[in-house]
Amino acid sequence: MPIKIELLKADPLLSFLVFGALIYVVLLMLVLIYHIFKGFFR
Amino acid sequence: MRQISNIQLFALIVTFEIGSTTLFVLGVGAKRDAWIVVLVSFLFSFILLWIYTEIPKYYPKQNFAEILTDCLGVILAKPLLLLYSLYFLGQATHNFYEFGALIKMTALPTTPLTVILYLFIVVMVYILNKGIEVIARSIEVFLPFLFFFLLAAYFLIMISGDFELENLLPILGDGLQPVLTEAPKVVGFPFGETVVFLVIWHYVQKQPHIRKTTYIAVTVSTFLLLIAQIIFIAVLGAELTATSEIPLLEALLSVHIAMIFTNLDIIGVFIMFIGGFYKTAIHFFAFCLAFSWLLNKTNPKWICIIFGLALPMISILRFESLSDQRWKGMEGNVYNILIYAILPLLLLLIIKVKKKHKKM
Repeated sequence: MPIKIELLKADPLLSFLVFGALIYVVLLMLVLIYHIFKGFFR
Repeated sequence: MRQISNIQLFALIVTFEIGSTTLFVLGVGAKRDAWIVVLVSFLFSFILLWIYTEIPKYYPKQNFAEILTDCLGVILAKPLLLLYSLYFLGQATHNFYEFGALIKMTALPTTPLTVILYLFIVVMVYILNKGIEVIARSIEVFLPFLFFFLLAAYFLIMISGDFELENLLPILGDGLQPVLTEAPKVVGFPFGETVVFLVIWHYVQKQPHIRKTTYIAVTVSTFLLLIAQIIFIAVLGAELTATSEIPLLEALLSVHIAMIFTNLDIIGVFIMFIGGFYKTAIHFFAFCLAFSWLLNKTNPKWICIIFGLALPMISILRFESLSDQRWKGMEGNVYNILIYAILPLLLLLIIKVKKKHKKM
């Protein structure tokens, strides 16, 4: 579903949550990959 | 530590799920098939509930902050805790504003919204300061009344004469597409909102029974929601239900039985008040807990008082009107999928991988 910009502009808390969550999704995926490789090469 | 029984957890989840959902026709975009949207979303929600209830299995009796710190380390855990606490605060403002506005619209039309919200929050802060046990016990007391009034309302609407099951036909007349388009919204609201219980699991006495209790509670509440959906559409028709601001009240106002059972909107107001109060209270309590853990405090009392007094102002500043609140709530909930589905899933995967390596 495309992100509706006018909704994010109208609700700063929602936009903070969406972008914060996006950053964390990337970070947690990196952490997950790190742990998988850590176990793999041990 | 304060603890709640599994029956109290059941009462918390059922009240939370029913909460504001009786006021809407969920999945109304699918018109007369809205009830099928709820059914499909309920099946999807089982995956979400499995994720939420799997996490406490690895960390029984540990709070969400401890789980995050153990899993991700302090540097990554703290901002994530802030993100979740703001999400809970955001949800609390949604519920709070919505119920304040609905109470004003239905029961107290000449009272300013600010007064209604402050009366609301004073009671809420008092009860939250008493702790989770008191919230759970009070819900345990009110739940039978909530059930009674809901079922009585449904029964009276059904025998009122306006109930026409033909309004639900043809089933899936427009195919599966509208149902599948609407399902993500309903998975997010109300099922995805149960992510709030991640910060409450550690209070539960019998940790191994959390999953069973949660599944039973969500099934019971979905059953009640399904009946509500079918009744609204059968009485009001798909078009009127979609445009109606509070379908429960509209349906209740249509009840005229032998000139005795009329003007039953008070039942609707009771259901709205109990559901709205506890839904807001649980979200706000989760925010207070998460925020106090963020500041390394064990008692959320002062956070509860300070933010409690600010909550009506935050809600009024955030939303211009009820339609603005509903727009932000319904559209925004789809984007919250990252918070209620993707992040817990990634968290669970990290926990599983870490625990697996520890065993090896």
